Amino acid sequence: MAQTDEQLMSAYCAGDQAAFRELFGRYGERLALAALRIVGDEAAARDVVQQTFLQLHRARNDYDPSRSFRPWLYTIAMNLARDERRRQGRRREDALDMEPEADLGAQHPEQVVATQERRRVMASALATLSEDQRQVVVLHWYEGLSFPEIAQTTGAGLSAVKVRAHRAYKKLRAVLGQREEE
Amino acid sequence: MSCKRVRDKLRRGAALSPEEQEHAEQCPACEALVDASPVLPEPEAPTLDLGNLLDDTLAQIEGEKGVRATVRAWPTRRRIAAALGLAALILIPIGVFSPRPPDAEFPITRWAMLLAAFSTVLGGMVFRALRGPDRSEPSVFVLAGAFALAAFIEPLLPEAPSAHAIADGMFITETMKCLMYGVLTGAPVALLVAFMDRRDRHRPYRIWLAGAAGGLTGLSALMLHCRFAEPDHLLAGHSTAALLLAALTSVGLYVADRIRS
Repeated sequence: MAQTDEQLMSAYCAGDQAAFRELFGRYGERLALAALRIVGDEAAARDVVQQTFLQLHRARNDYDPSRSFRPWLYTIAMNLARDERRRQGRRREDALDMEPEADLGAQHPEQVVATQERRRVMASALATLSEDQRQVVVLHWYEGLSFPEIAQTTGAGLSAVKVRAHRAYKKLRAVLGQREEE
Repeated sequence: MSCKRVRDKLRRGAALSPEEQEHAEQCPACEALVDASPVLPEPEAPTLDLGNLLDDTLAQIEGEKGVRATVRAWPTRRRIAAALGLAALILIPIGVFSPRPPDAEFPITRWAMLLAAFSTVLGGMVFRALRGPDRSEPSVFVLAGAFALAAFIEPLLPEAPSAHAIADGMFITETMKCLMYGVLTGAPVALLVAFMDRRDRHRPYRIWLAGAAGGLTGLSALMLHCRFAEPDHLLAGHSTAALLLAALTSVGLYVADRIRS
């Protein structure tokens, strides 16, 4: 039976290096994708992932096994991604950078173009959101975190997270709906 | 759990049950998500080649050796206690062995309240500086305001009556003495906080925290030790010491970050 994230982290805290590799395997790519949607640059997203796991190592003695591991890990990643985005200091209008390439090999060329266009439109739409709203959409829609987990990750209250989600999805509906009509 | 169920079904493109639809009608966030879901892309799992990222990360962790790596890995409570303990280790002996001379005219209550306020802000500064990225990041603006207020409050308050006055022609000498005293007594705390900080890169909004913690320590040391109460002296010697230490530490951290990157 596979170990839970919490068991793996506890094992790593006890010195099990294989547990760290397993956690990286489970979350490395997911965190890179989430970071990419925040920082808009693949190299920067990889750097965020590396820094996240480095900070996980440094903060291992702060880890509370009674708390859920995933929001804790995403807290680190999102804080570092936000720092990186602010360090870059430019708005990510370039949609192609914000959406990772999918494995499009099995698709028909026309489908590939359509998929890439949909991604570009979505990335542009994400760029119209505030930083807080974008983070909620990335964590909620793409990463599958629950609202309480997002509240834990961002440090905001549950009500504030839901308000951000409400506003973000309303705005996305308006922006994406308008583009569909065009 | 209803919000999660609604979201999970919409991600899969599945229809909502009557119970879930009822929830979505009552929950503004879910209502907006239901409304937007037809135009949101399906969150499929595209590939992103991480290359040798795991090996690079493990190599970086392997390089985490020495005193700094050990101290950075301490639980946050222990790091905060170490920084505040060092501040106490500096300030208590000053208060016991080198206090300001007895002064019947001096408003001791006001002095004690200011010292208590400085200690509180110092505690907040250390807590914020050593809070790692595994925790939410409260705004630093309140702390920045508190630091600025602490640095300038003494010279801005009505001058405290005092039996001691700076001799004619000695203003610059006494001011420089206090400047050096404040910087030297605060520097160990600033350096320790910077040393224990887990971050390798500092954003402008937080780069000044370690130096400000040192500055408040130096300010408190001066309050305990300096016998003069003239506002000009307090501004030029005490306030400047706190700001100078914050500035010097910030510059040092900035240079260190640039070298590392």
